[in-house]
Amino acid sequence: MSRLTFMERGKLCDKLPQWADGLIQLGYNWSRGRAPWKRRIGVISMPCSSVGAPLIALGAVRKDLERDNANNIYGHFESLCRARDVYLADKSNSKGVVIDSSTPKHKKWKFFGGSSSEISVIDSSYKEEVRRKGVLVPNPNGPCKRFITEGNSRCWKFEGEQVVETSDLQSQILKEDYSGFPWAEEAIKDVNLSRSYSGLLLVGDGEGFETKYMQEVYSIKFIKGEQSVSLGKLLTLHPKGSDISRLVFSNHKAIEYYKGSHYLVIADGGSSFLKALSCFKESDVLGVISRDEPTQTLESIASKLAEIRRYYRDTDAEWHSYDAPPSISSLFMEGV
Amino acid sequence: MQTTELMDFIGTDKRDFDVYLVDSNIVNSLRKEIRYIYSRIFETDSENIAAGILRLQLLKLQTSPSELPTNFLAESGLGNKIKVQAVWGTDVALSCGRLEKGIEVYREKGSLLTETLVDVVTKHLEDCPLEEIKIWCHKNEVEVFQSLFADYDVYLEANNFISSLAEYKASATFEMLVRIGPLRSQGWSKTPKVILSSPRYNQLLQFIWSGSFDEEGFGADPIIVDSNYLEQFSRTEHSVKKHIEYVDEGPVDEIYSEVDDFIFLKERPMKAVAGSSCILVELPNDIGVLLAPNASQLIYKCGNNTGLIFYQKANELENGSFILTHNMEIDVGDSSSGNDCWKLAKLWKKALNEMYKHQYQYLIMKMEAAGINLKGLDRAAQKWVQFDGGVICGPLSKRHFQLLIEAVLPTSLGDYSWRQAWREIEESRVQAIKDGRIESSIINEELVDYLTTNIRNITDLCDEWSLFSHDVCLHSGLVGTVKFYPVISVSDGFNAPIEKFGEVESLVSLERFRTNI
Repeated sequence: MSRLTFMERGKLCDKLPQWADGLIQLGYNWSRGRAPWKRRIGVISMPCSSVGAPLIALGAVRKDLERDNANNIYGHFESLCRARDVYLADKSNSKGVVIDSSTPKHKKWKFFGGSSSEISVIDSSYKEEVRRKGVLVPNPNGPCKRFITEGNSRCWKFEGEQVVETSDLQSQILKEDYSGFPWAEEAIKDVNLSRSYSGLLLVGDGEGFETKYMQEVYSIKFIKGEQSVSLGKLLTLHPKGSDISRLVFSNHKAIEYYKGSHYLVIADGGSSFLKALSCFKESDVLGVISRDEPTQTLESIASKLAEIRRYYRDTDAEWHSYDAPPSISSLFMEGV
Repeated sequence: MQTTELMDFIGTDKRDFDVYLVDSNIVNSLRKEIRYIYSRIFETDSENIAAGILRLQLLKLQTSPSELPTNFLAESGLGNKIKVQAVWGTDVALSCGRLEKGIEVYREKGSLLTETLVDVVTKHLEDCPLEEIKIWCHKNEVEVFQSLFADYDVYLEANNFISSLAEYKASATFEMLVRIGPLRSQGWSKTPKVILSSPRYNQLLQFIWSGSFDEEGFGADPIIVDSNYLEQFSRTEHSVKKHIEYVDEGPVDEIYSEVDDFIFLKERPMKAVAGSSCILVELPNDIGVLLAPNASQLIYKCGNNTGLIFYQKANELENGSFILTHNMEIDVGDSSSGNDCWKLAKLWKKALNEMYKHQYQYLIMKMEAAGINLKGLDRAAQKWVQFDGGVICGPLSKRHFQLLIEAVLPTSLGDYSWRQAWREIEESRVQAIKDGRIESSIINEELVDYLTTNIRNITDLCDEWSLFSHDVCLHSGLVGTVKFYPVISVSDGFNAPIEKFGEVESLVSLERFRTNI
């Protein structure tokens, strides 16, 4: 079996560097023995700006692929029902649009009604009033209606989100891309390769593929024999149409708009970390800070940690054990 | 620089940290005298400009390669012995005399610190290429270092210096980092902690006067305080001592002798000025400007081919940018049209004017008796009768206005009440603020638009990193001059009255507002 090598900005390392391997392991081990009611907070202090946070995210993505319930299928129908109820209670609050990802055209539909076991949706282009001889009158034709049930709900997705599940092989992720980490304990569950998961949020500094931040992430390549795969692809940062995604990405400037629930938020940089701590109070937050960030940002983080410290205790548990060089420092806390 | 490359460079081996502790009896005396004079002035008048100048020189002596200037005593009003004796007493006058003499000897013999620095660095040059040596210093000190080394035929280039975090982050790894003065992350001569927590060099050379100390915890991680990166250094102290025959009969009191100057000054802050916290932006030629930390500042930044004009928060300014000041004016139409509408103001002002002209004594007496307790009643009355611009000049306090109308000018408004007249004053003030804001926003908008479209010309003007100005005269009526000041450094820890914000002044006068020594 070929050995996994690592390329950073075009420069090939003959093996995975200790710092990168250690951070991937940290992400991999994060959910070990995790009790949802005990929030975990971690800070990794790096000597320079780096792709440390995306590497930790890779470890977490790898671990999620091993877990049976790490996909959006579970509870998807219930979340569609909740979204319907919210929309019908106040139509100005959301668009109430869902998409049938099983059809090639990805047609849009709007919540209409239903019960706890069924959701009715109508064609989103349906108009309730039409113009007749210059006058608006109720549309004499009823809307085209469809029904979402627990059984077919995996074909339906919210507008702006990735598909829940795909049957298209091209849109699935490849198991081989995520193998090669000798410390990985369990096998990847095949079903997860075709299912999206939004339990993990990475907060960074750019969103589009062309941004400097993303270019840095994509410049990291994992090479095994003839095969090379970028860190950006492994993290499914920019999935196309019906591709699945195994992580949610947010620019730190837009973090307030993300309402999702994530078991872990990995924050890249001081500003992201500070925002993540206050925006995701129910989630674990792991910040990767560079010591060469502006002094003011570092001071804000130190004072924020001092402020919340009374509610946490430092831990030396197994979940954050990783092999890191001395230039990387870390702090891990768990809710008391 | 790649992360892996830096991680490998930092590695696990300890790197060298050589500290040269320089002990000079002359410098000790100079410091002692300055501390003594400062204390005496501080005890009596902590706002005195002389205290500010002495404080600055004491700080510079600790951290700068520059020679102590001869004229600073004269500049601070301590050059004239008779006058000093009369104002501050015989002891201070004697101390000033000793200080003056000490400075002469110090300048004649040269600084032992810079002598040691040049000696050590030139020795290292035998097996270390010059481009592998970098000096961390203030941008203003670059030329001083260059001339110091030039005397020994060592010609330092711009790439031998680092003056900011951005420059440090952009640098590749190198052999040796040189620093004068104590390592401090806050206040005067601060250096980011990253120089110890993320070393991009193999050896650190520090030159420091004896009796001067690094900030406690400078080597600690900025967030994870238990991690101390100083442990990853092998620290060696070298003592350098020189005694020069010199008459030293300075004060013997312990507090003026062996004490860290930073601690000494911290314990004796300049009088706390009632004001707001602000930052100091240092500009070339020893001038600077105080700005509110969150003030939105118009900025010009040079790019590779062209520049950019944009607004940036003052506390996010970086050296290398230019801050823009202007005296633009624009005619936005007649803002005093409100005069026609202020009919009540016309009534009470007419009555007040009549009284001021014909019954002046009676007016002042009535005002006093009514309880308008202003110090300059005459000046106030003169101002209140005026009718210029869109604002109705009148008492600032509602109570004073009520007293003026009800007790001094009771019949002036006819059937109208003083409340209606007060509302008119308030409206005129609101309108004036609105007009001012509109004018200012039109100027800002037009100016940014003009500068952005003329960015090429501006970029051509900025071929050297120095102050330049650009005249603007547009058809829209926008006329004035824009000045582009290069930012040398930005320091926080200042507190000044708001009226000082935005005024370009000498650094000496602005340094007295430094609260974080």
